[in-house]
Amino acid sequence: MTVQRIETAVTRPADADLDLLLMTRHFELTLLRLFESGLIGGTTHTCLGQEHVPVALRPLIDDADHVFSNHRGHGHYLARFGDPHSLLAEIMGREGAVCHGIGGSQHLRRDRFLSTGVQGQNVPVAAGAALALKRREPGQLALVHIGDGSWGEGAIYEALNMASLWRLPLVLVVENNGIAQSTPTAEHLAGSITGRAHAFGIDHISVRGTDVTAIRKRLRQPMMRVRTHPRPLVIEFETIRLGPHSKGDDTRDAAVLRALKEQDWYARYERAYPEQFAAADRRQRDLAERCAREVTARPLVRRNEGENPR
Amino acid sequence: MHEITVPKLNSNDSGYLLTAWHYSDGDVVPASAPVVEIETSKTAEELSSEVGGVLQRGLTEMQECRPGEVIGRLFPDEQQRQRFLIGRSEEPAADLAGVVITEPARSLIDRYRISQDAIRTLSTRVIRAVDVQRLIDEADVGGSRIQHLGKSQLAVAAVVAESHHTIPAAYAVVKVVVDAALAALRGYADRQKIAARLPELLIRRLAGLVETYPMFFASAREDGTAVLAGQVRVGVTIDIGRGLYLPVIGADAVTSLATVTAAMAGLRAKALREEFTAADLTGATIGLSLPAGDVLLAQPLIMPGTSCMLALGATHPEVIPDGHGQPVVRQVALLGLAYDHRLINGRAAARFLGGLKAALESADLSDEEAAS
Amino acid sequence: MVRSQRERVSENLNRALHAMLEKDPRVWMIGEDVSDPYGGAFKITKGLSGRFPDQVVSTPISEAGIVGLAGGLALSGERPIVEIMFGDFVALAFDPILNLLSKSVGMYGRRVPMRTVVRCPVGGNRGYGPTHSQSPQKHLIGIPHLNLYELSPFHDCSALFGRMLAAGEPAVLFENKILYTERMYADSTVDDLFSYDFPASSDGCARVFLGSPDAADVVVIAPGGLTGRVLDAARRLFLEHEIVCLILVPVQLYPFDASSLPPAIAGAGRIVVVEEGTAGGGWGAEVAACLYPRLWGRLRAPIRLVTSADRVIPAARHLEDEVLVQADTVYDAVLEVAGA
Repeated sequence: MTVQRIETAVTRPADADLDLLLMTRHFELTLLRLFESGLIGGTTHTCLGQEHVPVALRPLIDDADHVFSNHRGHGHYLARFGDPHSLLAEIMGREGAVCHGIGGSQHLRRDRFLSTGVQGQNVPVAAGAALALKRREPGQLALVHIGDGSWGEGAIYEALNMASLWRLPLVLVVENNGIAQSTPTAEHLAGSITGRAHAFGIDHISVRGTDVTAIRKRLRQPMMRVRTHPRPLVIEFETIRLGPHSKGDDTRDAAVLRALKEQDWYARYERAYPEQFAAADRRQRDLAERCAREVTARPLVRRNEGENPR
Repeated sequence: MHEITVPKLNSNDSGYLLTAWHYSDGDVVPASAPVVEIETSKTAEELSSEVGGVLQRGLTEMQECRPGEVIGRLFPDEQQRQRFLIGRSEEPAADLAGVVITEPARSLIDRYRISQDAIRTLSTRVIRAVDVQRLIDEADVGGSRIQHLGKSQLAVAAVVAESHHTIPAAYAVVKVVVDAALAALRGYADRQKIAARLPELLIRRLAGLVETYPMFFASAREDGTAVLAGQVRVGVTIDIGRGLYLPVIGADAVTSLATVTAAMAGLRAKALREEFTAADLTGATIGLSLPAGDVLLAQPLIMPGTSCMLALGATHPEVIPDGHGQPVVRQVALLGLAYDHRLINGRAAARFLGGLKAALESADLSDEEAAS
Repeated sequence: MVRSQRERVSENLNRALHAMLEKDPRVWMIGEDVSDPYGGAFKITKGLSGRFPDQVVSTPISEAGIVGLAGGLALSGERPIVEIMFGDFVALAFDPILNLLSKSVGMYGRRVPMRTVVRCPVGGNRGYGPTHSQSPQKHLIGIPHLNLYELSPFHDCSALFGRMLAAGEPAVLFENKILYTERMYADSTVDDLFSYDFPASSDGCARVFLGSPDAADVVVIAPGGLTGRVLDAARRLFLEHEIVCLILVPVQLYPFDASSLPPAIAGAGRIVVVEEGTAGGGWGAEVAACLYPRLWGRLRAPIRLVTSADRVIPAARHLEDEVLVQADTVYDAVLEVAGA
């Protein structure tokens, strides 16, 4: 794993982008604290280190586009809705939960956002949504997030095959964080994701770094092309996973984790734009703390037969 | 007889549709000719039989059929087809179209010999043992038993009723001394190896009377006329326990004692096998009743369409004084005649009986032996 | 008995698909080789792609992918009908059925209508061998929000599809292949012995009876695919032994609505449940589990389950015959129960 890559210049972020990045970061950190203190049970998967992916993509998708998320999807949700309360309430099973406490961390649905907990399953689903969009709402697209580990699932290939054959407006965002739960990418993935996309005649874009403004600039054209000339597109983000797969299950060396931290957008933006960063960081830290206090105080969601009948 | 069975036409369908017959019942179907069309879920197939014959269809068009099912039959000739049809209609309850009979019900029907007509009175589509049992039990209503009449008895009843309703009958009897005739028949049997008996001889002798007594071979009409048949066709009563039949010995069979005897044997065989056809049972110009067992005298019915029926009672001994006042024994039989009084009066009847008596008592069979 | 030429079950099914696609442009037909001129492995989708080119999608061999795709369409408000070429292959689509189609209805807090029908040609007696002859109904029983139906020669497919697509929950329709070439029953008549009616409603169970629907010695509950075999057995049982069977053919297998069954079921006190699936953990057990609490104390014999043998289904027809439920299997079971 290459970890010594240093970015020298990082574009000044828009305040909104910085706020969104930090909202996600502090949400995830707060979540881990709540777990540690026993206020949250069950499981969750944080996106620490990968927050910039949905933030960079945010202005490139509109409300009529479908976003399909995966198990590591809090950042995707927050980037789309900017609403940490409904998400935290969902994870804590408290009133105001976006899915009434049934879906939890991995199964979220709101408007045209949907996440599921089974690896790779969402790619055929996104292909189906893309097929419907192509027929009913030309110009819209379906975007689906998967990780590097999801490439072990056969359903992905069935979906890529159909998406390419039928020229569907499908954007496959691969967040390659170099590790699938505990297995490094090199040990679970033969060949390359580029090669696999090309095998289906699908364009592949490789994205490195965490400069949201630069990434967005680079992706604007290809994303627009998916809308105007429908064809699937694979965008592979080379990212890092700073946190554990779930909670407290990280078996990586401390040295490796320290090196990864050097690549974290958090440190970079902080070094490059300290004043802007400090203000935003304070705002979002406070927001996360307030959110946690407020949601924790809410009553538990009540069972609702009408919403989960039988 | 060759059965037309449905072959297995494909592996998917459990049944097919019979869409068309290319021939009708009674048609002669040549060997290898397409005879019927069967439709499967995929194709229409024509079936042909390697054997030709006279067709009797078993299923009608647009009925479903299954592989292995017999949908029709091919007979070597029309007679065999007719025989099949009669056999089928005599089979208990086989003719009850559209009625389903369970096996327990069927075994009761067979055991109690219940007729189709009785079964029809149930007026139900599905007949179970309990229904048949009800028919049997109904007989006990009010302490008396009710027996349903069979098909053939109902036919007898119809004829008898019509006869009594339409023909004013009179009756006369003469005694025939048969010693000489019996001796002659024994001699005839020894030499010709033909076991002719008195009834055969009587029928043979009738042939000689038709010109002299035309009114006895006639039928009355409403308009005051009589139709004279001018031919001897004798309807003979045969009852071997399977119902009363009146099959006819035709004019061509009364030309000799030998032919009469053969015809009588043929009729008895048919009665035994219940193989009478409609042709066997129609066209009599005179009747002959042969009462069973030791019955000496019976009053026969007069078949509608004829003017009289004879009845020949059992031969029995009689003791009479001879010319010297000594008792002697002779064999006699009573010969009765029921006749239509509209056509025949007592005097004519007495003459006819007298003529027949004389012909029977004559012991000469030399003509018969010369003929054969 | 002369009958007019009745519609074949496959024709009724094909007509229903035509009607569904015509009536609602949001209805899709998706599956392998479903387009003309091929029209599906069993020709059920014949003529659809010509009439509705935008609604018929002939797909690669990707059962998991196409059922997932259908999920995406359903989430977008579309009404996809998916054909799995052989029901055995529904195993490949188990994840999207279990974790996507059915889950989506209830796991997002608000009810999400998932109007999808997965069509599965199932069953044997055609010599197709171990992996093309199974009846996998039992593997899909007991999944919340997943409704299981079975094709029947009594129930009109147009009404059935209308109902399945209107339910807002995904449906799997099992189509016993043996039925395709059979004819639909009509006018309350089965044959010279049996009549039928729908005691609750035309989408409830069909009731096949002999004489009176209220008098039976044994009640036989069987899904549509077994109709022919059960009728053969019932006919022989009556003609040979005067055992009267009341046959109930539910069109919905799961959830099994025991309350909709006619009261005669209690009167008979003897019940046989027949399915073509192999022994062990099957539909019949589910039906029996629903019936026992209702009929406890009124049963005169334990509910008898008739299944195929707990064995692989052989390809050779004579061997297959021994493994799968046949008319004789039903006959023997009913005879035994009737004598109990």
